[in-house]
Amino acid sequence: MMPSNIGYSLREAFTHIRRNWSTCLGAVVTIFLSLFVIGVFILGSNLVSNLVGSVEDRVTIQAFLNDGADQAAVDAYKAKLEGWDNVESVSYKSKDEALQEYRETMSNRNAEDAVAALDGQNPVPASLVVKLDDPQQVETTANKIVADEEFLAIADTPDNAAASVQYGKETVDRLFSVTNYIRIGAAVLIVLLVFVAFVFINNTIRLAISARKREIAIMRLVGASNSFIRGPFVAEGALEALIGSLLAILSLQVGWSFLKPQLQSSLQFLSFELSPTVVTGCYISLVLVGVVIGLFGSAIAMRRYLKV
Amino acid sequence: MPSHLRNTGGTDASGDLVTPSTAPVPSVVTSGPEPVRTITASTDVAQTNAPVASGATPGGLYAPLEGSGAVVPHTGTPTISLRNVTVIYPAQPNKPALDNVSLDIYPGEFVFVVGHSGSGKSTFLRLLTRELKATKGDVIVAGQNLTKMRNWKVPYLRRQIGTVFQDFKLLPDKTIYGNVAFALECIGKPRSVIETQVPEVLRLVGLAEKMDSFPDQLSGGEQQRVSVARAMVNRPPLLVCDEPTGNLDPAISLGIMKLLDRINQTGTTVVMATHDREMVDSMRRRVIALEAGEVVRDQERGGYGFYDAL
Repeated sequence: MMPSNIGYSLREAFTHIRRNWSTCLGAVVTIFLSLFVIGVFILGSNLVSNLVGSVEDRVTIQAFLNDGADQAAVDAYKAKLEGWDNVESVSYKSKDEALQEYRETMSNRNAEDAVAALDGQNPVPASLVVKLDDPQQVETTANKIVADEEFLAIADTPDNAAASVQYGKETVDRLFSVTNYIRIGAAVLIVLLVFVAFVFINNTIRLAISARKREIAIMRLVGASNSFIRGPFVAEGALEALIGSLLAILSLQVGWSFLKPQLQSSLQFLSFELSPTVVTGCYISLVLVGVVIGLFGSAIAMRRYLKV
Repeated sequence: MPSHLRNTGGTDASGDLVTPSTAPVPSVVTSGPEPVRTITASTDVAQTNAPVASGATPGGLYAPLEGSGAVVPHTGTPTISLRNVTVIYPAQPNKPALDNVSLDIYPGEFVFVVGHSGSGKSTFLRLLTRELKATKGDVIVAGQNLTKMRNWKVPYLRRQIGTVFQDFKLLPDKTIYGNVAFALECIGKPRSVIETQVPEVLRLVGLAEKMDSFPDQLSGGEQQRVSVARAMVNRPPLLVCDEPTGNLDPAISLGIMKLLDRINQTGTTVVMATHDREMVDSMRRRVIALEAGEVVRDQERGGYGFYDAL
């Protein structure tokens, strides 16, 4: 699309931006705000999925075992589970460990009485803790374990295998639906914002064109090629978009560096780290989206004036 | 000498437009410190205006121009060739703007196109620059069939055609030099070529000293000479003029006509639509008269005609 007259186009575009800075400012601000909000959404959804990810990591299946289960059979079943597709790891939690964990949870909840009431007994069964590759598949895998004959032999309650297999079904479901809604909402909003920015660039270039109609007519008269005529306008659109996207990146960077310490101090148990790759990727895609909007917005605005 | 500077007899660099070998060959010397165009000779158009203006008063008719009126032999390939061309505007489907017109214009000719408003003059001229496509028939300019020409090729066609309009079409925020240079910048000529060719062509039209003025500091006649300079700066073999003297007074018009005549004598084909009766009558060149989209007269050394209509 870029002809040999890049230097000329850029010079013309700069001149025009300088002369009509108020119109161009409008386009730059629109691009800036749109890209800024898009950036907030990209970084925000990354942050949320990081947080969700740490929760998702905790989604495991607990398969409770009969107190009298044969240790060899348990080990064999553990090995079998590890062979399954979606299973990342399986660990054995003995009765003692389970009781220890129970005690801790209870004392965290200030329910020492409940622990005291155990009175030296250990009612907590041993269990196999299954970690999954894809937390979304938790239900399928759980059902598979329930239906497994081999598991029935060692299950805590062989009569009702389903009761022996537990996973945070409702928590998981809610979490997934919420994150999915957030993702869909963000995608829709991003599309809308891109569209708005596109329309605005298109409009600005249209104004620039109508201010220079005479010049375009003369250019066509003396035989300037379409790409030559298009050059300055496309360059102007791209420049405005570039300035807008750089502003967006700058304010994202500044805003995040202010916000992050405050979030971190008020919500200490969560991690607000964004990996540098994600941030750089986000910035690069903002610039790309901006420039593509600028190029296409102006090229489409030009189309009508280039019909021979 | 770069080939694009030439407008010599025989086949030019592009191989399209051919001027007759009888035409004087303009030579442009770009090697010297100050380029000299031989065709301008010593005559400066700016100086020729005053005596004619006073001489035009008594009879109101111009004296025939010296050295003009030679009938150009119709030999070789026509520069412009219309074959059964019909143009119908969508707004008036029953009244064709041009109705089955066929004509040939040969290299080096000076042709007046006359006719009342709405007779199809402008439509004819717009066909030549492919601003308009023929509804039916073939328009062949410079060996290319414009009816079948792809849109992307049109700019390259227009580089071989100079155009002059009644309203000058100058850019008000560019100087005279800038306006003429703009035409070369647009087609990607290097700066060195622009810097030699623009002053040269401005000297040809007699505006060398006004190079740094802006269009609104110039009179109408001077502005029109700038637009002629812009049309000629790329040395096109064909010059199309749409009523170039339409809003100039008779004396100034004569200056423009002399300029066009001299350009014609260098071998450039000139097609000019006009309402200027006295001009046509005094020049005695080929006249094509249009009426309601049809050629009603095509005459060598013709007059304006239409006396009965007035």
